[in-house]
Amino acid sequence: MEGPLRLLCCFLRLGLAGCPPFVCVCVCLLSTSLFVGGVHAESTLEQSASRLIIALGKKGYHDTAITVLDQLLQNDAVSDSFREKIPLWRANERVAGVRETSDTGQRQRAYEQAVSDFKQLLEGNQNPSVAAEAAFQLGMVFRDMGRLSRNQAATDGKDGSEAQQFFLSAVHVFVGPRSGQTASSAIEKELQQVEAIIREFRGQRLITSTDRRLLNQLEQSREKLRGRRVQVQLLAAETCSEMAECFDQHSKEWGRSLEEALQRYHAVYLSTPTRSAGLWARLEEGKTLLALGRKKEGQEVLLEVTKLPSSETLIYQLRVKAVDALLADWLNTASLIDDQEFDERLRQFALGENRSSAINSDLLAMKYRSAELLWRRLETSSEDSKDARKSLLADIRTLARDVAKAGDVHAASARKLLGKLGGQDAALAERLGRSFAASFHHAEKILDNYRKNPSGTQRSVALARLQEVLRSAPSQTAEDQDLKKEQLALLRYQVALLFYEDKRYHEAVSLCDFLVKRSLYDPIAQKAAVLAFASWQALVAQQNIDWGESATAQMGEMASAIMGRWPRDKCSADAAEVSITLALRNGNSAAIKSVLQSLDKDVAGRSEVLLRGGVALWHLCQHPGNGQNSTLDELRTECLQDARRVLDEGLAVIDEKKALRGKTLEIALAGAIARCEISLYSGNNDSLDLFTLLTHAGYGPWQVFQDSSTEFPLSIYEAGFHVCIRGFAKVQRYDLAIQAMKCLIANVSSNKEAKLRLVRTAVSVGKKLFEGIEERIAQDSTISVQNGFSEDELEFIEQLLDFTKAATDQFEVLSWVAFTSGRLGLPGDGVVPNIPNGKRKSFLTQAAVTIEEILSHAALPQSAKTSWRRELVAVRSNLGQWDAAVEQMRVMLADQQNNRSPMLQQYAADLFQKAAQDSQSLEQAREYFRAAIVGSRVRIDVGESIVWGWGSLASRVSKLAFGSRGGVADKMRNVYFEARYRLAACRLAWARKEVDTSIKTRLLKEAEADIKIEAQLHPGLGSDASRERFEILLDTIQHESVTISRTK
Amino acid sequence: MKTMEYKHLEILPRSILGFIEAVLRSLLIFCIYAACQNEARVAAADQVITRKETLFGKIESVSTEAVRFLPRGSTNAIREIGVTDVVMIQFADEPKNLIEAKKRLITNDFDGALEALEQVDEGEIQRASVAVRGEYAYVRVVAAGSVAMDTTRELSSALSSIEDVLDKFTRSIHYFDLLETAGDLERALRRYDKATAIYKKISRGPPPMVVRAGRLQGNVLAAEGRHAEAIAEYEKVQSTDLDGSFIEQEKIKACLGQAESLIFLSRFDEAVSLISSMLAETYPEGDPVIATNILLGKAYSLLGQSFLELKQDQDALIAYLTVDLVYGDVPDTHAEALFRLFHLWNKGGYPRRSAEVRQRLIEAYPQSTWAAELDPSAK
Repeated sequence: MEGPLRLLCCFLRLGLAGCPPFVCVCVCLLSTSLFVGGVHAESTLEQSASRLIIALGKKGYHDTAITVLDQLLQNDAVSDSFREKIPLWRANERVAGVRETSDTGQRQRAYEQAVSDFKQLLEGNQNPSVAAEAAFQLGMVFRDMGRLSRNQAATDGKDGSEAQQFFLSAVHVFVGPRSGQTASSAIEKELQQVEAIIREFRGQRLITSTDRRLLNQLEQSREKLRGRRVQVQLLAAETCSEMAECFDQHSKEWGRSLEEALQRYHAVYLSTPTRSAGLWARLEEGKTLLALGRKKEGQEVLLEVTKLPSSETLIYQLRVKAVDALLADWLNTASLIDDQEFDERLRQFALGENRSSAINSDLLAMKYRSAELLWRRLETSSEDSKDARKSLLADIRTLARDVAKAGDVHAASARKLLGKLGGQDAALAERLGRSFAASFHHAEKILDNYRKNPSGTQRSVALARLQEVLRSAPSQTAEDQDLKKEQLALLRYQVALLFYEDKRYHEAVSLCDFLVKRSLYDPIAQKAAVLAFASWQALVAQQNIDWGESATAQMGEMASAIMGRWPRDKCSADAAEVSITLALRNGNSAAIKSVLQSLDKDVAGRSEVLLRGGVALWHLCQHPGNGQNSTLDELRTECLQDARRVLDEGLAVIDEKKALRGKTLEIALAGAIARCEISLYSGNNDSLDLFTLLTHAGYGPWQVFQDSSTEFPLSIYEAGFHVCIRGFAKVQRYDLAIQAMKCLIANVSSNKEAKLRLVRTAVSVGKKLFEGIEERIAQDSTISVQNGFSEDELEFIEQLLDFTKAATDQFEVLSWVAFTSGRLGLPGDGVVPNIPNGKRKSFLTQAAVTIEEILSHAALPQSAKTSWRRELVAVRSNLGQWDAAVEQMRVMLADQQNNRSPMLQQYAADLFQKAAQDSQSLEQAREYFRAAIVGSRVRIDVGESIVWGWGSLASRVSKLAFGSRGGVADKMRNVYFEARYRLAACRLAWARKEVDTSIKTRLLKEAEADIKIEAQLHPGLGSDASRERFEILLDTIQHESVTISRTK
Repeated sequence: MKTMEYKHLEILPRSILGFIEAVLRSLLIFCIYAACQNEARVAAADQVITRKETLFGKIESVSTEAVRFLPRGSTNAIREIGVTDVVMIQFADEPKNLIEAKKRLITNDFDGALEALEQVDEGEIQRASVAVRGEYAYVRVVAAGSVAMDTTRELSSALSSIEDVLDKFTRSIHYFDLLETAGDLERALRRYDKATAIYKKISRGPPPMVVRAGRLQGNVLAAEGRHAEAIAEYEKVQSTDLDGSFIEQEKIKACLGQAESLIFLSRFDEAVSLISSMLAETYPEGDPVIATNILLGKAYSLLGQSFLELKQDQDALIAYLTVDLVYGDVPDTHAEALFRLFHLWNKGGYPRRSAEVRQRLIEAYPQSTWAAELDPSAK
């Protein structure tokens, strides 16, 4: 195997040893070069873009690579064949971009997204090269997820079953078994295609120069594919080996995984025994044998590797690794006989010059272990064998010095070994110990100690020591200056963190500010920015008048900086959320909008930020701050539109595949509630499907409150149920509205204010119901059953009335209850054509009781008393409670102003007449008839109640009625003729009620006389219609008279 | 009687075998001799490098419009290779440093070409054929002329050198190249009428040269500040019906010239649109890679400039990154790209990336004006 694939295999292992960027780079290189092997002509844009993306990946600028890919996707000039590769590249870059981050949450999310992307590509794509690449990358991501899970399990003390699944998935994707495409099968397919095309070319007799060029490309592709085929097998073996780390050592599963890895390594070796991949596999085979306890076999294999002729760097590195593995194994044994194979050849190899371009950790490890083994031999050698001891000492010295100077992970141990040698070696060790690397290591130990016991005292000690390290750092040596700078930045960050934990926020801010502006190391700068933000937040919370305002401004600036510099990271979303909270507190909706606008569309946690922002905007719509006039319609409309848009967007981007929990659920719920509120506020101007949102499985308030065992703050709980009541009422699901009400009542029964809020909602909903009915009637003026309340609505209103009546004795509420009950009970109202009688009576009774409460309410204004009494009269009379009605009437007419009112007197006369007609007792009826005809004066508690009766009413209004022309005269004329008519009618009614024939006759005569006299006085009798009425009445009276005379 | 014993693989008696062996040995010697002769003949062949292939054989004759060439192994099939297909010719008796100088000239490494020429023995050139002397003269004056235009120094003397060469070597295949360089020098000296006159001579050549002349005329108009007219000329070039990789290159150059004029006229969105359309065409595979890289570097640089003016920083960043990481062959274009990237990375909040490009600019191009802007101590 030549060229890039050999390099790739080498880099793969380096990747495992800690150089991940190279893995990604070479994977990208390979993946792109595979596409170049295709036979279609790319445009200049596509060629340039491909090369740019590779170069950006190589530099680690994955975010920029993604930006380029996004742009290409939008570019119409890009061909379809190029476009179909973009999702694959994008997913690759996304994964590559997070491989180095320490934010495990971010990595997890990126991996999950990548898995989804790659699976989609595998399922959808028929292009074999894309499928092969997608399968390959999917396997790599599964491996990464396995490692992440395994590391997390180790930290949390959990088992590695999840990690094992990931590793297993990786193996299946690489080589099977799997129901879909595997990388191996896809590569085979692609290889067959390429070979078929090559055969076609070879079959041609004449090959043009263009064809020759294409043929060269195809042959290169074929080589790469062959290499990739081996690589996939190797990766499967390595994955099995890694999977073993998920289990307890020497457990069955552990052994099984390693055995599988062993078989796979062996198979790779057999397939390519002389190529780099095969040799690599052989090395791994040896190491796996050692791990499985098959020492003899393992050592034989590794010794074989150490004997490879190392003409190339890669082979040399393999030899180094093999020697290192052998040494590790020998050092594990107590017996010196076991390490006899570390002979002169290997000893010289360990001492030999470094053949690779840079000192690497494998070489240093080998040297150190060699020194250790030789030291062991020195300790057990006889004092007599001076030459042998001298030689051993010399070699130990050389090896230990090499390692100590390199400053690697074994440097401290190598220094210890030099210390044991004493003299100049010990002095050198001491000098080397003063290097920056040693100081940094010392600082790490200090922090470790503090973290184990984070008390205030320990913190002060840690701070002092770290500051000491920072002070002496500039004068200390370091092999790698860049690494030193990075480590210094890290230490400064740790100091800032300690300041923060010590509540020395100003100092923390100063240091973090420096790091944010000056540090070239992005992860550290990011951490520092977040810490600075938190420090400013803490300072704002102190509400100090001296720096409070400045701290708020600084918070805003830092939030902008974080969002601008790390737009897609979680810290950006966090900063946005905090900024929104601050802006809400200050009543600044423009600031909220600005934060939302600068939010990146790919940021993690975008939906939460949008929902928070939307809820905040809605709150400000209802309670504008900053001196805004809440009645300004334009501002309000704009604010409402913004809130609506942001909430819709936030709800739309919620990841519905994941179950919402905790804070995320709370925010989603709050957002849904706010959105429902907006919809209810906007009425028909909002197209939201309210019912769907209320009952949404993930975050609909109704569903969440039913299903969730989560405790929510009362404010959300209450708001949610309020919105459910109103919303369900609006969509005419009264059953659910009633349920919601009952749930809320049960929960707020002891909370007075919450109860009152519910009362307000109930009243508002009730009013809306009536408005709705009235609107329906206005559109269709027929008073019909269809336009009236339905049974459900009636039941709902009843519940509302019952609850509100019982909940409070506030005047306004009682008024609404009385008024509404009255409307529902009294006949003649368009909204209630279909209410059963029993229900009517019930409403009327409620109305009566409520009105009586109102009449005795302290808040009732004097001027309203008469209206309420009149209402009560109407209610009582509809209930057939005439005595009570009459009593109220008398009370009203005891008032001088009232008893001079013709309208009231007319009402009274009518009441008495109806009461008389309905009365069961003749005596009572006679009394009422008398009052209706001639009036009455009765003394009651509040004064003398004067009823005019029909007769007196007519005479009292006659002057006004016939004295002049005009509105009042016309009205009075109507009253006059009505009174005269009713006078006669009343006598007739009395006559009919009466049992005494003489009284009957008298009454009828009087009635007849009333009409005849009137006809003489006013021949027109008011109007044609009125005269006709009189005539009909006269006929009736006369007929009645005749009937009575016949029965005598 | 002695029995003759035959070994398993021997099918002939020894005596006969010996004779055959002698014959075979002679044949072998003869073959080796002949091969040596052929190798000598191969080493002594002329070469013509075109856009698609390299031909070995004998250059029969050269004119301003074509090379008449007899490919190796052929007896009478003379090929005529047009001037626009010729990338480089090489005579059998050319000194290797001259060949090296010509290779550097093709890659626009003019200083390198002059350096290589300094290694050429003057005496050897004097003794060489007219053709070789012509080659030497051509490389010398074109390289010197290009350096003069870069540094804006000694333009007149460079021009007169070219005029001398044109007078002396009237049948050179490089005639049109020499005219172009002369015209460019006149343009650099702001003698636009003379430049136009020289370019007109180019237009008397074969049809592809007419296209080139049109483009060069566009350059003159642009230099004079007559951008609208320059654009018209460039458009004419781009709408020509001729094809072939020479024409494709001319079209690209005209497109870039037009884009520059559009930028001068502040018509940035049109410049973007024009360059984008050009980039949407198929990648020019057949051309020498370096020539393509130089043109595309320029294209992306102009694209970046336009995007900057349109305040589309992200698009500008991508364009300049393409120059830096993909087409950074021309020092001045690359240096400018690094300079722009420094500011764009800073603006985007990437101090580390910004510091890295600054470092590269100062290290790679310490003498450039762009580096001086970022590192005043270097001035």
